[in-house]
Order: sequence, then C-alpha cells, then structure tokens
Amino acid sequence: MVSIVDDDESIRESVTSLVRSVGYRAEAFATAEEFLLSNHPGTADCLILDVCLPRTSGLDLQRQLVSCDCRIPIIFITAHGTDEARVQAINDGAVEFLFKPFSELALLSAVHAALKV
Amino acid sequence: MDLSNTIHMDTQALDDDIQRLQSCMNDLISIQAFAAIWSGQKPPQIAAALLELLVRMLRLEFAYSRICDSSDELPTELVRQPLPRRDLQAHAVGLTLEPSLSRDRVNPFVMASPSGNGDISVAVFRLGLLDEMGIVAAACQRPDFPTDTEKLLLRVAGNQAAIALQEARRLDEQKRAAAELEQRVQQRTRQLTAVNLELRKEILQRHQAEAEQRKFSSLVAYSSDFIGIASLEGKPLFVNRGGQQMVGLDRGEELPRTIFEYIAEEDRRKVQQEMMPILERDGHWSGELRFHHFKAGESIPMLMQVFFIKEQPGDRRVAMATISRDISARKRAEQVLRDSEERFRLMVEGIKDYAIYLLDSEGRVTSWNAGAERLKGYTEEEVLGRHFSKFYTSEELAECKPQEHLDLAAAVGRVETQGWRVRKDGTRFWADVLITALRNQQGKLIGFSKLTRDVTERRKAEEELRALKDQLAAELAAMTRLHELSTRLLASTELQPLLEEVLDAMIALLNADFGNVQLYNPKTQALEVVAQRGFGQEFLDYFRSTQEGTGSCGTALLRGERIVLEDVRTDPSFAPHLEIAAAAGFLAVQSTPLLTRSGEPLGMISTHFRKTHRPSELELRFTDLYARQAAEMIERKRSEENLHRSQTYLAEAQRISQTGSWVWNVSTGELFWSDEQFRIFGLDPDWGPPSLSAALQFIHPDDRPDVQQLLEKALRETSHSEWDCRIVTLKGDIKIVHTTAHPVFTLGILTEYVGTTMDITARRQAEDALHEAREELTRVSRAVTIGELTASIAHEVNQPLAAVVTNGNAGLRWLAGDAPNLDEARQALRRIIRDGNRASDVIAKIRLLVQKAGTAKEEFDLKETIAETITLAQAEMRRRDVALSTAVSDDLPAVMGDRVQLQQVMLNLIMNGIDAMSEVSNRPRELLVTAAQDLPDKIRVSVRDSGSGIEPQNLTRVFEAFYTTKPYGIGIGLSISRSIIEAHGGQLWAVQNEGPGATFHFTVPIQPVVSAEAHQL
Repeated sequence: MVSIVDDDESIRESVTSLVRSVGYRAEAFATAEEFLLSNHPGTADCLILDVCLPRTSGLDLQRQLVSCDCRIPIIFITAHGTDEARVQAINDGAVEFLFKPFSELALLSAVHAALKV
Repeated sequence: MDLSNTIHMDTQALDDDIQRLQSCMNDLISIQAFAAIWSGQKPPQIAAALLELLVRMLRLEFAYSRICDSSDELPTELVRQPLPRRDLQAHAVGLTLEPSLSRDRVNPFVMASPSGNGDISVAVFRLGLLDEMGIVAAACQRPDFPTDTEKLLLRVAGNQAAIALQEARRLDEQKRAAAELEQRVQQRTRQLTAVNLELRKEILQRHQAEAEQRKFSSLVAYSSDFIGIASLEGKPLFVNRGGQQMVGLDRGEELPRTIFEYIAEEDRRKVQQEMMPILERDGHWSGELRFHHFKAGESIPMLMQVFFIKEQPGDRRVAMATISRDISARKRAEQVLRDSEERFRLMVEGIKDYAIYLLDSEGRVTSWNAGAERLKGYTEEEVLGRHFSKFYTSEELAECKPQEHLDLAAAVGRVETQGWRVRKDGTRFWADVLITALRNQQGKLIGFSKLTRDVTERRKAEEELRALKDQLAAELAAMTRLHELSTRLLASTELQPLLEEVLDAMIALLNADFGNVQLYNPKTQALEVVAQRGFGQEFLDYFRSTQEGTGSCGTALLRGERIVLEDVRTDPSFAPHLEIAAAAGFLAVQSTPLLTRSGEPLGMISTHFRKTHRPSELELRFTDLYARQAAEMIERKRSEENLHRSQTYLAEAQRISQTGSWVWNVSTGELFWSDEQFRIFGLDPDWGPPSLSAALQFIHPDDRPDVQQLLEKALRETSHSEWDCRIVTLKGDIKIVHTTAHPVFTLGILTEYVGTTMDITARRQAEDALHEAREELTRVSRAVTIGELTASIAHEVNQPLAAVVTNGNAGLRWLAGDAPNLDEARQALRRIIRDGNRASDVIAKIRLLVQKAGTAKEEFDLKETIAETITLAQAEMRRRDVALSTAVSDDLPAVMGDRVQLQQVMLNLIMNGIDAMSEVSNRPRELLVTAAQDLPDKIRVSVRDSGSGIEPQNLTRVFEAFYTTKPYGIGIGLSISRSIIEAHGGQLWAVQNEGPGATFHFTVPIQPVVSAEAHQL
C-alpha cells in the first residue's frame, strides 16, 4: 500500500495513477492532517510526501512519524525544495528526495526500493 | 292703178286720217286739261307750261313766247326746246323772229334755224282778242308744218292760254287793287294810332300832375313840421294837420284869429321886436321861438323859417308862410350833454390818483383837481395861473423840456412821456405824463390837458423785474456755457485730456487766473496734482501730494465741502503757505471737492486769483454743477480706463491661458468672440465672428455629432455643459479644445450662453505623454510584482507539468501490460489535458499582467477576478507560509473598469501583505481578503494582514511615489495603485488594525464616473 500526500490535486492523481499502473495499491491525501487522521500511518508501506503542505509541512510530518516510531519509508517530492531540506529529510531517514518534475523511473525505483526494505 | 288698189289706198288714207284725228282729239283733251291746271297761275308760268306742251305735242324744234303782263312793264320772253336741249336764249330767238313778227303775218313762214339745223317752219299766233297779251311762235323742221290739225291745235292752245293769261291778268289787277286799299287803310290806321298815343300821353301827364298834387298835399298834411300860411295882416289861413296836432288843435277847431296866438306868451315880444322887423326888411327870418300848446298849456321850442309868398309875376307879397320844427328833443339832448359834462367835471375834480389839470396855450395852469393837489402838494389857489414848468426838475428845465413837450403836443396832438417831477416840498416822483393839445372847432389851439400819474412804485417794481430778468438772462447764459462745457467733457476720450478740459472750463467759469486739478489717492490718502495751469515747479513740488487739512484743498477735502479764501493773507489756516502763494502770485483761492456718486472723495478743483476775490453765489452754484458733472465724467472715464485695463488683462490672460471666450445670443443667434477665441480657431478678428452653424463646421467631423447633441441637450434643458472636441483650423491644424457653455437667464428666460474655449492641445499632448509614461510605469510595476512571484509561479507551472509527465508515464504503463487498462489510460490522458490547460492558464494570466495592455474598459465579475488573483499569489503564500482566507459576497454586482489594472492593484496589496508578514514568526501569518457591497453604489475590497503594520504618520506617505520600506522595493506600487483606483472613481486607503498588521481598503463604484483621466489610464 502506497500513501500519497500532496496538496496539489494534479500531482496527487497522476502519482496515484502511476503507482497503481505498476501494480501497487495507492491512497492519496491532500494534507498531513488528513493522512494522520486515517489509519494509513499504521498500514502504509510507503509514503510519497510533498514537502510544502499547508499548516503541517512534509518535513514536520516526517519528524512526527519518526518521533512516534512509525517507520514508513518516505519518498519526498517537491517543486521548490532546498538542499537544506533534502539533507534534513535524508538524515531523518527518507528513502528519496525528488524534485518536480521527476522521472517516472526515479519515483518507481524509489517506491520499489522502499517496499523491499 | 286698179280699183282695188285705189280703194285700198283710200282705205289707207282714211285710216291714217282717223288715227290723226284721234291723236288730235287726244291732244285737244290734253290742252283742255292743261287749261284747268293753269287756273290761278301767274302769266310766265302759264306761258312756260304752254310752250312745253306745244314742243312735246307737236314735236317742235322750239316754241317761243313773248307775254305782255301789263302795259307799263317789259314783255316776258320764254323759249322751250325738246328736252334735254337748252341751247337757245329766249331774247336771241325773239330778235331772230322779230323781222317776221313785225309784219301782220298769219300764215306760217320758213326761216333759218337759230341753232343751225337748216330751215324751219314757223307758225305764229297771237294771244288775246286784240293781241294785247303777246305772241307765241312754234318752229318745226317739218316743211308741212303746221298741218291743219296742228293749226287747230295751236289755235285752241292759244285761246286756252289767252283765257288763262286773261284770268291771270285779271287776278293780278284785283290783287293790286286790294294791296293799294290795304296800304291806304294801314296809313290811316297809323295816323289814328299816333293821335291816340298823344291823347293818352296827355291824360297820363294830367294824372301824374294830379298825383303829384295829391302827394304834395299829403306831404304837407302829414309833415311833422308846422307848415302854415297867414295873410299879410297875420290872420292864419292854413295850417297843416301835423302843425295843428303839434299845438293841440287837431279836433277840427277853428284856426286862431292871429298868428300871435300860436306863440308862447314869453316870446310874443320877440316876434314883434325881432322877427317882424327882419322879415319886413329881408323877406325872411329864421330863429327859435316857443309855441303855445293850446291843450297842455306848455311851451314848445320851435326852429322857425318865416318868409313871404309872392305872386307870379310881379313879385308882390300876397301872404306869409312858415315852416317850423319842434326842437324839444334836441333841447333835451343838449341838456343831457350839459349834465354829463358837469358830472365829468366833478369826476375829474374828484379823482385823486391822477393829477388832471388844464393849461392855457402858454402853459399856465387853468384848472386843478384834487388828484393834482394830492400828487404835487399845491392847492388850486397856489397854482392857478402859474406856469407848469415849475413841476419839472432843474435838469429838465435846463434842457427846456416843458416847452419842448408843449410844442410837440401842439404839433402831433399828444405827448406821452415819463420822467422825474418835483413836488411842492421839493421831493421827486417818477411820473407818467400825458399832454393833449386842445383845439376849438376851428382848429385853433386853446390849451392843453395834462394828466400825470405817480408811477414811482411801478417803476421800482419794473426795475426790480428788469434786474431779475437780467439775472435770469445771466443765469441762462451761464447755464448755456455750462452746457457747452459739459458737452465738451463728453468729447474727451481719455482721462488726462478730460482733466485738462475740466480745469480750463473751471478757470473760464470763475474768471480765475490759474488753477489745478488734484485726484485723491486712497492709498496715500492724499491729493495729487494731475493737471494745472499757470503754476511754477516750486508750487507744484510744494503741493504735489497734499494731505487732509493742508491748504485750501486739504481743508476742503477734510471738510468735504468747498473752501473759498477771499484773501489768503487774512486766513489763519493758510498762514503756513503764504510764502508759496506769494511766489505763485495769488491772493484768493477756491477749492471745490470732486465727489464720486457714492460721496467718496475723488479729487479737487482749485482755482486761484491774482487779486482778492470772492466768486459770486451764481458762479459758485455753477461751479458746483460743473464740478458734479466733471466728477461723474472723471469717475466714468476712470472706470472706462479700468475696464479697458481689465479687458486688456483679460485678453492677455486669455492669450496666456489659451482660453477664448464667447457669448451666443439665443434669440438673435449672434455670436461674440474674444480675440483669443479667433486665434484658437485660426481666424482673423477683422472678419467678425462666424455664425454658430459656421463655427460648428470647424469641429472635427468625427466629434461634430456628439457636440451637436450636447448643445441640443443643453439648450433643451437650459443647462450648463462642457465637452472636449477636436477642431480643424483653416490651415488644417487639428487642435483639441475644452469648451464650457453656461446659460444666462434674464428675468427667468434663457437669453444667452456664455462660455470659454480652452486650447488643451498641448496639455492633452503632455497628458498623453504622461499617460503613456504612467502606463509604462504601471506595466513595469506589474512586471516587478510578477518578478517577485517568479518562484511561486514556477511552482504553479511546474506542478501541472510534473503531473502531465507522471500521467503520461502512468498512461503508458496502463497500456503496456498484457491486458492494457484502457480505462485508466483514458483517465490519465484526460488529466494530462486538464493539467496542460492549467499550466497554460497560468502562463496566460501572467502574460496578461506583464504585457503592455491598452486601456480596456469592460464589465466584469469582481469575485472571479479576486479568485484569479489569489490563484496567482496562492503558491507564494504557501511558500511564505501565509494562511489566506477570503470572504467575498456571492452577490457582488458586476463592475465596469479595467480588469487587468484592478487585478494588479489586488495583487499588489496581497503581495504587500505577504511581505509585511515576512518577519512574523511568533504568530500566524494570516491574510484576509474580503469584498462586499459596502454602499449602494460601491464595492469595497479589503486586504488585511497580520504583519508589522504601518506607523500612523506613514499611513498616507505609503502612497507617495518612491516611498518604500522594503529593501528591494522601488516604492511605486501603492502610488500607482491609488492612481488606478482614483481613475476608476474609487478610493484607496490604509488603516492600522486594532490587532497586529494593517488593512488596505479600496472602493470601486458600481457605475464608475466617466472622466477624462479614466479614458487616459
């Protein structure tokens, strides 16, 4: 099961479709809060997370998941991410940090990798 | 010849004979018939008829007759020929026949035809028993003439004619005898008539004489005079009826025995002593005597004529007679006259107002009335017999006036004169005198009447009247002069010549030697000399500027009334100026203030006199009048000059401001243009203003309909109107003008439009340049704002692009499997299209904001515009961690305006809000965008942030250009935003929040005001 959190609907839908096209199940959320309130934090095998989200950002969500020992492999996607953010994300255990627009192979490889872990 | 032939011949002859006899019978009957016609005719007519009958009947060459009418007359000759021949003369024929006639011939004879037709046979027969009536000759060309029948016919005709002639002669004689008788009777009748006439005349004369006699008798009888005849012894023989009635003896009484009884007793002696001796001596007497009235017993005054009646011839006195007339009426009239004269005398004596007295021919007083005594003081006793010259003055006596007056009166009948006369007490009085010469019936001068009246009082009154008249004449002359001078004032076109004219006139009016005019300067409150005559520089310097109370003019100014200094040396107030007066050479002065109509001081006219002098009241009065007029003229002229100056300034101002003015008379259509108006339209003022329709032709054809519509609307609503339009001058230059038209009402009726035309071409060009610059600046500003958004915008574009790529890959994968999932692939493709459009939209919006868009006014939905703007800024807000909330009414009405510009303003405010919160870390960064219909006609849009806020002193400064608090800002965003909003007829302002941050509000009218600037922005 792959969870996707992105406030941009287009990204949300396209990524969901791509993930599903290779045979995985996918579920999408527009905000961090939405994701947290679902049961997915416990069941998700991979989280594709947008860095910039309203209110709780992607990085904050990562920190929150780490702090509660929820070790879901996270793949960050961002439109205007910074190197500092990337470093912070990787340090905190992120599988991949991709800049939009990203290649499908990069995303799918990251998803495969995450699911193998 | 056989028998038959003979018989035949006999028969033939017989027939001829019968025919001849029948013809002859016919002719005889004709003759008989003629004879009947001849009856009563005169012999020549009978002869003529006979001849004509014979010529015709017997076919004669001619017939001739000689008729002896009476023994004492010449025979009448006649000749007739067959008609129409008339070549024979009766007397010539008679002479031709005469030799044959003288013989006692009874048979016919042959002779040569008098008309040259060969021989003719002539038969002659005589008329009357004794041939005494004449002869008839019938001539025929036939040789057998006359045949027996013709002889018979001639004879019968001759007899018939003779009978007729005889008858005619008899009748003629009868007529002659009757005429003679008639003549005798008439002669006798005339004689008798004459005698009769004479007799009648005599009778008439006798009748006339008798009538005369009767008339005379009646005349005498009914005469009102007393006509009487008496014997030489004095016994009355006859007294006419009038006379008898006069003395009361009209009842048939017997005449008195002597004539003395007719005379009143008192006059009988006069008869004996005077009348009778003179009568005896002269044969007649005339005189007055009184008769005795036998009935009434009174005396009748009579005028008597007494004379003797003498016998003719011989001259012997046979009686005496009198014709006397009653003169009682005359006597009474004489008495009335005497009474009247007496009354007149008493009246004259009683008249007191007139001295009426008589002088003898030498001039001595002969009568004296009460009036004379009262007037001259002499009593009658004192003056009678004295010469009238004693009433004359010594001066007139020296000139022999008394005698002169008498001589003149004697010569021409009367003298009327006036002069001083002397009373008894020596006092004088002015006398009106009438001297009339008195002459007797023979024309001899017998004296003079003199009538004198004291007219001293009247003379005095007359003198006063004359003086008054002279004064009036003088005043009239002065008025006339004043009028002339005033008229000349009107001719002065400028102030200075007018002042000189006023001064000259005043000097002339007052007969002054010199003078000056001063005008009052309200600033210095002093009088300043503006015109002068006869003063030197020293005086002018001294009195150049005179304060109130200084000198005569200053005093007059102070008091507001005229000052007259008769002698400046004696006037204490003038003491300080005596030296300068002496130098100037005057001793007297008058100063008359010139006042405006409202009584304000205008100036002063002073006139100066070399000698001590005080102008007369009349002169001063006219001075006042003239001064008033002069003041008015000066005031008017000053106003005119001020007006002229104002007009000049106005023209200059119009020229500088390139503003022309015009007046359009609504009723006459007349158009007045100022010079600048002409200049703006490129027309020559000398041509005069065009008509309104001509003026409209100068308007650019594209603008003309609009202007005409505006004008019509303004006229219809009589309202104020303004417009901008282009005009095309004659040279083809295009100018932009701003025109105002303002209605002017007189008594509530629109009479005129006054207006201005301002050439705003240059301004408009400058405005256009400014507008372009501002437009450019606005665009730059937008670009800057967009630049600030680049990162966010990149994100906004990247997002859909990333989605597109991902969807593409996903799609491929959905198709690449063993069992391609077409449905998923289709959905992926749809999303690709959607996201591609989304990216394209963003790019389009940005291009719209950045491109140099022209002015575009449109009706648009503000709510939608706000949403779009937010879309542009949303990524930035996310990036900058700004929470946006919006509160936009659903029912916002559409607004009219420039969508892009309003979007720019909103974006600018949102970006400012985001920037203002960049330093905020201790509280949420919140941006609230609201929009609502705040007022019925306005929508208010507010952008509230929770940033650092604005210092109160900077709340207005933030809108100034190039004011900024941002490290990289250029400070034009808010300035441009405000101008955009104001151009839309709205307002933009900032307020400090009660909590943190600030709020920017702007309003947009739902029906935006259309202004020139809105067009330009």
